[in-house]
Amino acid sequence: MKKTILSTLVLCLVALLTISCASTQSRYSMLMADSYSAKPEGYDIQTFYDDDIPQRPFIKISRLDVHLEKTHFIGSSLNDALPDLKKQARLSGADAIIDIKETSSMVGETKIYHVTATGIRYTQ
Amino acid sequence: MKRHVVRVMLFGLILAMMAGCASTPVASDATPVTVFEQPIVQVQKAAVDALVVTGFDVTKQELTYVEGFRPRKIGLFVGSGGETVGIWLTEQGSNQTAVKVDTARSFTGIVGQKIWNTDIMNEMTKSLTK
Repeated sequence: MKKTILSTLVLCLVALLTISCASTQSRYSMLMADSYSAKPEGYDIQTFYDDDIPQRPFIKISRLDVHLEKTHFIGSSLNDALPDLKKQARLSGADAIIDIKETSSMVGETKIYHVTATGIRYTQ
Repeated sequence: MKRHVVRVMLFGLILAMMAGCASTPVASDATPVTVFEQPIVQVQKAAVDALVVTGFDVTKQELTYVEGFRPRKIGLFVGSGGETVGIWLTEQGSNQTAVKVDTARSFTGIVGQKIWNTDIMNEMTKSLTK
Protein backbone atom coordinates (compact mmCIF):
# COMPACT_ATOMS: atom_id res chain seq x y z
CA MET A 1 0.00 0.00 0.00
CA LYS A 2 2.75 2.39 1.11
CA LYS A 3 4.76 1.55 -2.01
CA THR A 4 1.74 2.16 -4.26
CA ILE A 5 1.16 5.63 -2.80
CA LEU A 6 4.82 6.52 -3.12
CA SER A 7 5.04 5.35 -6.73
CA THR A 8 1.84 7.26 -7.54
CA LEU A 9 3.32 10.43 -6.05
CA VAL A 10 6.58 9.97 -7.97
CA LEU A 11 4.63 9.32 -11.17
CA CYS A 12 2.57 12.50 -10.64
CA LEU A 13 5.74 14.52 -10.01
CA VAL A 14 7.41 13.19 -13.17
CA ALA A 15 4.23 13.86 -15.17
CA LEU A 16 4.01 17.42 -13.84
CA LEU A 17 7.66 18.12 -14.62
CA THR A 18 7.44 16.77 -18.14
CA ILE A 19 3.99 18.00 -19.15
CA SER A 20 3.72 21.46 -17.61
CA CYS A 21 7.23 22.81 -18.16
CA ALA A 22 6.73 24.07 -21.72
CA SER A 23 4.11 25.99 -23.63
CA THR A 24 3.60 26.89 -27.28
CA GLN A 25 1.20 29.60 -28.42
CA SER A 26 0.72 30.47 -32.05
CA ARG A 27 -1.72 32.51 -34.10
CA TYR A 28 -2.19 34.51 -37.26
CA SER A 29 -4.06 37.75 -37.86
CA MET A 30 -5.01 39.09 -41.26
CA LEU A 31 -3.47 42.41 -42.30
CA MET A 32 -6.39 43.29 -44.57
CA ALA A 33 -10.13 42.78 -44.75
CA ASP A 34 -9.80 40.06 -47.40
CA SER A 35 -9.58 36.47 -46.23
CA TYR A 36 -8.16 33.54 -48.15
CA SER A 37 -8.87 29.84 -47.89
CA ALA A 38 -6.30 27.88 -45.93
CA LYS A 39 -3.61 26.00 -47.79
CA PRO A 40 -3.80 22.21 -47.48
CA GLU A 41 -1.73 20.43 -44.84
CA GLY A 42 1.66 19.57 -46.27
CA TYR A 43 1.67 22.58 -48.62
CA ASP A 44 5.26 23.71 -48.89
CA ILE A 45 5.54 27.21 -47.42
CA GLN A 46 8.65 29.00 -48.66
CA THR A 47 10.71 30.75 -45.99
CA PHE A 48 12.81 33.86 -46.68
CA TYR A 49 15.34 34.77 -44.00
CA ASP A 50 16.83 38.13 -43.04
CA ASP A 51 15.97 40.80 -45.61
CA ASP A 52 15.52 38.30 -48.44
CA ILE A 53 12.25 38.62 -50.38
CA PRO A 54 10.84 36.64 -53.32
CA GLN A 55 11.45 37.78 -56.88
CA ARG A 56 7.79 37.18 -57.80
CA PRO A 57 5.25 39.95 -57.06
CA PHE A 58 3.39 39.42 -53.78
CA ILE A 59 1.14 41.03 -51.20
CA LYS A 60 1.49 40.89 -47.43
CA ILE A 61 -1.61 39.19 -46.06
CA SER A 62 -1.00 38.06 -42.47
CA ARG A 63 0.96 38.59 -39.30
CA LEU A 64 2.24 35.33 -37.81
CA ASP A 65 3.25 34.83 -34.17
CA VAL A 66 4.76 31.82 -32.40
CA HIS A 67 5.61 32.01 -28.70
CA LEU A 68 7.61 29.30 -26.92
CA GLU A 69 8.39 29.10 -23.22
CA LYS A 70 10.36 26.39 -21.45
CA THR A 71 11.36 26.11 -17.82
CA HIS A 72 14.46 24.29 -16.46
CA PHE A 73 16.65 26.90 -18.29
CA ILE A 74 15.97 25.19 -21.64
CA GLY A 75 16.03 27.56 -24.61
CA SER A 76 14.20 27.50 -27.95
CA SER A 77 15.27 28.45 -31.45
CA LEU A 78 13.76 29.26 -34.84
CA ASN A 79 13.95 25.57 -35.75
CA ASP A 80 11.57 24.79 -32.87
CA ALA A 81 9.15 27.52 -33.96
CA LEU A 82 9.27 26.96 -37.73
CA PRO A 83 6.70 24.12 -37.93
CA ASP A 84 4.11 26.25 -36.08
CA LEU A 85 5.04 29.35 -38.09
CA LYS A 86 4.44 27.45 -41.35
CA LYS A 87 1.21 26.00 -39.99
CA GLN A 88 -0.12 29.51 -39.19
CA ALA A 89 1.00 30.71 -42.65
CA ARG A 90 -0.92 27.82 -44.27
CA LEU A 91 -4.02 28.59 -42.17
CA SER A 92 -3.93 32.24 -43.27
CA GLY A 93 -3.68 31.22 -46.93
CA ALA A 94 -0.09 32.41 -47.40
CA ASP A 95 2.41 31.03 -49.93
CA ALA A 96 5.56 32.13 -48.12
CA ILE A 97 7.00 33.76 -45.01
CA ILE A 98 9.14 36.92 -44.90
CA ASP A 99 10.24 39.49 -42.24
CA ILE A 100 11.14 36.92 -39.58
CA LYS A 101 11.92 38.70 -36.28
CA GLU A 102 13.05 36.82 -33.18
CA THR A 103 13.11 37.99 -29.56
CA SER A 104 14.33 36.15 -26.48
CA SER A 105 14.02 36.90 -22.77
CA MET A 106 13.94 35.15 -19.44
CA VAL A 107 11.73 35.13 -16.34
CA GLY A 108 13.33 33.18 -13.48
CA GLU A 109 14.22 29.79 -14.92
CA THR A 110 11.81 30.17 -17.86
CA LYS A 111 13.36 30.94 -21.22
CA ILE A 112 11.03 32.85 -23.53
CA TYR A 113 11.34 32.85 -27.31
CA HIS A 114 9.01 34.73 -29.64
CA VAL A 115 9.03 34.94 -33.40
CA THR A 116 6.93 37.29 -35.52
CA ALA A 117 6.77 37.05 -39.30
CA THR A 118 4.68 38.14 -42.26
CA GLY A 119 2.69 35.76 -44.44
CA ILE A 120 2.66 36.70 -48.13
CA ARG A 121 0.68 35.58 -51.14
CA TYR A 122 1.94 35.60 -54.71
CA THR A 123 -0.09 37.70 -57.10
CA GLN A 124 1.31 36.08 -60.26
CA MET B 1 3.77 7.29 7.76
CA LYS B 2 0.37 6.79 6.12
CA ARG B 3 -0.96 9.93 7.86
CA HIS B 4 2.09 11.86 6.76
CA VAL B 5 1.54 10.86 3.11
CA VAL B 6 -2.14 11.86 3.32
CA ARG B 7 -1.15 15.25 4.80
CA VAL B 8 1.37 15.84 1.99
CA MET B 9 -1.25 14.94 -0.62
CA LEU B 10 -3.80 17.25 1.03
CA PHE B 11 -1.28 20.10 1.08
CA GLY B 12 -0.53 19.50 -2.60
CA LEU B 13 -4.24 19.57 -3.41
CA ILE B 14 -4.78 22.85 -1.52
CA LEU B 15 -1.74 24.36 -3.24
CA ALA B 16 -3.03 23.28 -6.67
CA MET B 17 -6.46 24.78 -5.90
CA MET B 18 -4.87 28.05 -4.76
CA ALA B 19 -2.71 28.16 -7.87
CA GLY B 20 -5.88 27.98 -9.93
CA CYS B 21 -7.16 31.20 -8.41
CA ALA B 22 -5.99 34.13 -10.53
CA SER B 23 -6.12 37.70 -9.28
CA THR B 24 -7.94 40.44 -11.16
CA PRO B 25 -6.11 43.49 -12.58
CA VAL B 26 -7.36 46.88 -11.41
CA ALA B 27 -7.16 50.28 -13.12
CA SER B 28 -6.91 52.83 -10.33
CA ASP B 29 -6.32 56.59 -10.50
CA ALA B 30 -2.69 55.88 -9.63
CA THR B 31 -2.19 53.66 -12.72
CA PRO B 32 -0.03 55.56 -15.24
CA VAL B 33 -1.77 56.65 -18.43
CA THR B 34 -0.13 56.62 -21.85
CA VAL B 35 -1.77 58.46 -24.72
CA PHE B 36 -1.33 57.25 -28.30
CA GLU B 37 -2.13 59.50 -31.25
CA GLN B 38 -4.07 56.69 -32.96
CA PRO B 39 -7.73 55.67 -33.26
CA ILE B 40 -8.98 53.27 -30.57
CA VAL B 41 -9.41 50.41 -33.08
CA GLN B 42 -5.71 50.54 -34.00
CA VAL B 43 -4.63 50.80 -30.35
CA GLN B 44 -6.85 47.84 -29.36
CA LYS B 45 -5.26 45.76 -32.11
CA ALA B 46 -1.80 46.77 -30.86
CA ALA B 47 -2.84 45.79 -27.32
CA VAL B 48 -3.86 42.31 -28.49
CA ASP B 49 -0.60 41.93 -30.43
CA ALA B 50 1.39 43.04 -27.36
CA LEU B 51 -0.30 40.37 -25.23
CA VAL B 52 0.50 37.71 -27.84
CA VAL B 53 4.16 38.77 -28.04
CA THR B 54 4.53 38.59 -24.25
CA GLY B 55 3.00 35.10 -24.07
CA PHE B 56 -0.51 35.83 -22.82
CA ASP B 57 -3.61 33.96 -23.90
CA VAL B 58 -6.12 36.66 -24.81
CA THR B 59 -9.17 35.97 -22.64
CA LYS B 60 -11.23 39.15 -23.19
CA GLN B 61 -11.20 41.28 -26.30
CA GLU B 62 -13.53 44.26 -26.21
CA LEU B 63 -13.03 47.68 -27.81
CA THR B 64 -12.28 49.37 -24.47
CA TYR B 65 -10.81 46.43 -22.52
CA VAL B 66 -8.42 43.61 -23.35
CA GLU B 67 -7.35 40.93 -20.87
CA GLY B 68 -4.82 38.12 -21.02
CA PHE B 69 -3.61 35.26 -18.85
CA ARG B 70 -0.14 33.70 -18.93
CA PRO B 71 -0.22 29.90 -18.81
CA ARG B 72 1.48 28.39 -15.76
CA LYS B 73 4.66 26.38 -16.14
CA ILE B 74 6.19 24.23 -13.47
CA GLY B 75 9.95 24.57 -13.06
CA LEU B 76 12.71 23.09 -10.97
CA PHE B 77 12.57 25.97 -8.48
CA VAL B 78 9.89 28.55 -9.17
CA GLY B 79 8.31 28.03 -12.59
CA SER B 80 6.46 30.93 -14.15
CA GLY B 81 3.12 32.16 -15.44
CA GLY B 82 -0.21 32.76 -13.73
CA GLU B 83 -0.29 36.54 -14.21
CA THR B 84 -3.40 38.31 -15.51
CA VAL B 85 -3.03 41.57 -17.41
CA GLY B 86 -5.78 44.11 -18.05
CA ILE B 87 -5.50 46.85 -20.68
CA TRP B 88 -8.02 49.70 -20.53
CA LEU B 89 -8.57 51.89 -23.58
CA THR B 90 -10.34 55.25 -23.50
CA GLU B 91 -11.14 57.15 -26.67
CA GLN B 92 -10.15 60.81 -26.26
CA GLY B 93 -10.85 61.90 -29.81
CA SER B 94 -11.00 60.34 -33.25
CA ASN B 95 -7.19 60.01 -33.30
CA GLN B 96 -6.28 59.83 -29.62
CA THR B 97 -6.52 56.91 -27.20
CA ALA B 98 -5.53 56.75 -23.53
CA VAL B 99 -4.20 53.41 -22.25
CA LYS B 100 -3.80 51.95 -18.75
CA VAL B 101 -2.14 48.59 -18.08
CA ASP B 102 -2.16 46.57 -14.85
CA THR B 103 -0.70 43.17 -13.99
CA ALA B 104 -2.28 41.04 -11.27
CA ARG B 105 -0.15 38.30 -9.77
CA SER B 106 -1.71 35.28 -8.08
CA PHE B 107 -1.03 34.34 -4.46
CA THR B 108 0.96 31.21 -5.24
CA GLY B 109 3.83 31.24 -7.65
CA ILE B 110 4.36 34.98 -7.12
CA VAL B 111 8.14 34.40 -7.04
CA GLY B 112 8.15 33.35 -10.70
CA GLN B 113 5.72 36.07 -11.77
CA LYS B 114 6.48 39.44 -13.28
CA ILE B 115 4.85 42.85 -13.67
CA TRP B 116 4.38 43.06 -17.45
CA ASN B 117 3.09 46.66 -17.71
CA THR B 118 6.29 48.15 -19.18
CA ASP B 119 6.89 45.28 -21.62
CA ILE B 120 3.33 45.54 -22.92
CA MET B 121 3.44 49.31 -23.23
CA ASN B 122 6.79 49.05 -25.08
CA GLU B 123 5.34 46.47 -27.50
CA MET B 124 2.31 48.67 -28.15
CA THR B 125 4.53 51.71 -28.76
CA LYS B 126 6.68 49.65 -31.13
CA SER B 127 3.77 48.47 -33.26
CA LEU B 128 1.95 51.84 -33.25
CA THR B 129 5.00 53.85 -34.31
CA LYS B 130 5.92 51.57 -37.23
